[in-house]
Amino acid sequence: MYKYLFLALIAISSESYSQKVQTSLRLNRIDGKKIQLKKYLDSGPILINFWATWCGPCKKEMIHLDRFSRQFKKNDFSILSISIDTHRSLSEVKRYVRSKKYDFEVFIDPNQQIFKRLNGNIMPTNLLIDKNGQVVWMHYGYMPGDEVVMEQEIARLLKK
Amino acid sequence: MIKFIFILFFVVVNILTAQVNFSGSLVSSFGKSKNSFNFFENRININSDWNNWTAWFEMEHSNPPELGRKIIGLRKMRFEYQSNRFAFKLGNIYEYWGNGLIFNMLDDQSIDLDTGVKGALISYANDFVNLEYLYGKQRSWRSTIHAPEFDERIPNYRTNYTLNGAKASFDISDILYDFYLLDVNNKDLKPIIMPNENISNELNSLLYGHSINYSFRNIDSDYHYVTNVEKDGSGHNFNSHIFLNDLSFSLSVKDYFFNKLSPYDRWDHINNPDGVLFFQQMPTVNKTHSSLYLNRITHQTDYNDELGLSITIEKQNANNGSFIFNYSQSSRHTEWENRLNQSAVLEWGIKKYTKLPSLEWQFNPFKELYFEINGYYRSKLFYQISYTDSYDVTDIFSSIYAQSSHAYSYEAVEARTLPVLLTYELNAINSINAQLEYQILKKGIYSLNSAIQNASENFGSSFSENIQTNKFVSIGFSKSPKWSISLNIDNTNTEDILILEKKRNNNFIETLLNPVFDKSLTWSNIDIVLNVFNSTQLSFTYGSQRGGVLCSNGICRYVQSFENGFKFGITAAF
Repeated sequence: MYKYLFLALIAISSESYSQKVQTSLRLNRIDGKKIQLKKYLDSGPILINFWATWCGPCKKEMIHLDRFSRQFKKNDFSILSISIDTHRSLSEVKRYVRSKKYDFEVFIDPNQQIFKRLNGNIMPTNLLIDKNGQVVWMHYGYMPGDEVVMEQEIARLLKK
Repeated sequence: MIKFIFILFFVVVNILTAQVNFSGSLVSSFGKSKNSFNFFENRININSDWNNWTAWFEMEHSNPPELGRKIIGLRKMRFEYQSNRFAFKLGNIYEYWGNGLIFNMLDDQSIDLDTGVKGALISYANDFVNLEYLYGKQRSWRSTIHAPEFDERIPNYRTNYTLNGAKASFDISDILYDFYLLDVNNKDLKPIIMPNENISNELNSLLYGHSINYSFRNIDSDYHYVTNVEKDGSGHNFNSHIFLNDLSFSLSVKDYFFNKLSPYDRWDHINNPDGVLFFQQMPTVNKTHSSLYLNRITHQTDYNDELGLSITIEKQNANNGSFIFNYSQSSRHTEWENRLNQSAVLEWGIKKYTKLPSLEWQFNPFKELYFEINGYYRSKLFYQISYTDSYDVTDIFSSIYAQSSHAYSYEAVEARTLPVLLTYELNAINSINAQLEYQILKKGIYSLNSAIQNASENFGSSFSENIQTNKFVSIGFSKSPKWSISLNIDNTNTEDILILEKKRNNNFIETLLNPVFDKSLTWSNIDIVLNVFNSTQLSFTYGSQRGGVLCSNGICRYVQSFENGFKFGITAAF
């Protein structure tokens, strides 16, 4: 009983979530190159999106992410989309993102190391990060309409 | 205890020194059912970083977990240092080399697969070269019927590997080249000991391999090769994509040949550890499906002996939609037959080899044809309609050639599956979702003894009827960003003879649906998801879930049914 109360307390404490991301974090881009998060944060805020080819809601959400990427590019805002597909289905990731001609950059995390480091647990997971590396908004899952909240959060961050 | 004091000390020192950032996440699930599929599983991840240093701890209190062995205490930990050029990792390490052909370390809780190592990794990188050195020990558990105390939920056999490897990567304009060298020592306890035998197997493997990635304008290709020098096994994987306006063409090829195992020994990696190593989790080169029924009949890739290809053509349509065609085919390299040996006992021997994927049943063929059309209708209705036709020879039991006759028996699975996904957006925040799946499945044993006059091929179904018809209906409503609810009904006309013998415990939804769906062959549940805060999700499921194969990223395992119970879950970041 006490164990469950403890877990519930932790769950409630997530309301005051305030993670800071390490800027030296190195990401594997889909073309095989390794790029530090710092390179993007030096330009402006970013949105990190975790997805997978087998995740239906993730694919629906990506249509909106593409729109946000084009819409807010002029504000030096970047979207980094990280696939957690394992190497068993990595070839499908390349095909999917290049066919769709998405505006944002795509990275891979087949062993879910970045996913765990940024406290991802449910697909998709989104983190909005300011120029200083501070996570200002985090969201688990996607249902139609969630993009409205996401757009408001991005706009709010860019106004600061 | 010492580990806990150490972590506590680390946390206290970090808090006192202030500049340290902390964050974490919690995944907790609880389930109770009338067929004793009970679990209480909790995992807490804590991440901490200070300048270029990071620490990661994962604690678990699972007694019992949904799948896997009971754990109470520290499950994983790792310390990392990362500068512009150098990186150092110490603790539980998860890396991948050579597209998984060398190794692919995964920790997938949904199917209880953990192929990570405990050790150290040092790397140096500049704009042209990346060098890595890894040393570690891997202790992985797996479920197998070839070791004592087999249980559907608890793995019963542990593999022990010591890995010592190096990797060099070179970045030359549009080409990336990697070279790998890995020395592996494998010391496994034998599951069954014969008199005068050693209690363990000790095997050494030396793997080396190359990877080449090439990207130029509309073409994207990669090739990976690995060879096991001491065991004379090798693996090749090639992927290529061509992108032309709205069209894309993809070709993937695999050729894995690490061991020659008879149909009888094919899946017994415990008593035949000579072939592929457990951490070599290579590409399946088949389409990965998200459909419930297609997942249940996922082809099990034989990494010791399989070659195949997959072709995909995708055309982008208006309204963010596309048309996808995929064809996958694979088979073993070898055909086996039963022969009489000198003691007049039947034993397996290789009859033929093939260098191209065969469609003859003697080579355990698999083929799948997949069509999908998806998109939006008037920006309100999302649709995804697919159709799959698949054929898989899963087992060969006998194959005896005589002068003018052939006696054989083998098991095959043939299926036609139609999954449909629909989402209708009522307004900016409310939507209705439907998932409908229909599958016609024929599974059973084909046999023939042509030595008998006028004999014809017999078919013995695995079910009480010749054809299994599966129907899945899920209807849901979601209100963004707060909650969603869905009713899921999984119905069949017949079940596997072994499963049918088990007694059902129907819930009230199944009893209510009984006039339409036979309650002895229907599993239904209600699923509610609440987003309490942005990064806190609660889920509640009441009802039953049908047992079957559960696949994650192409790796599958059997999961027992969940009968008339409830599941509760919390996922949160803090």
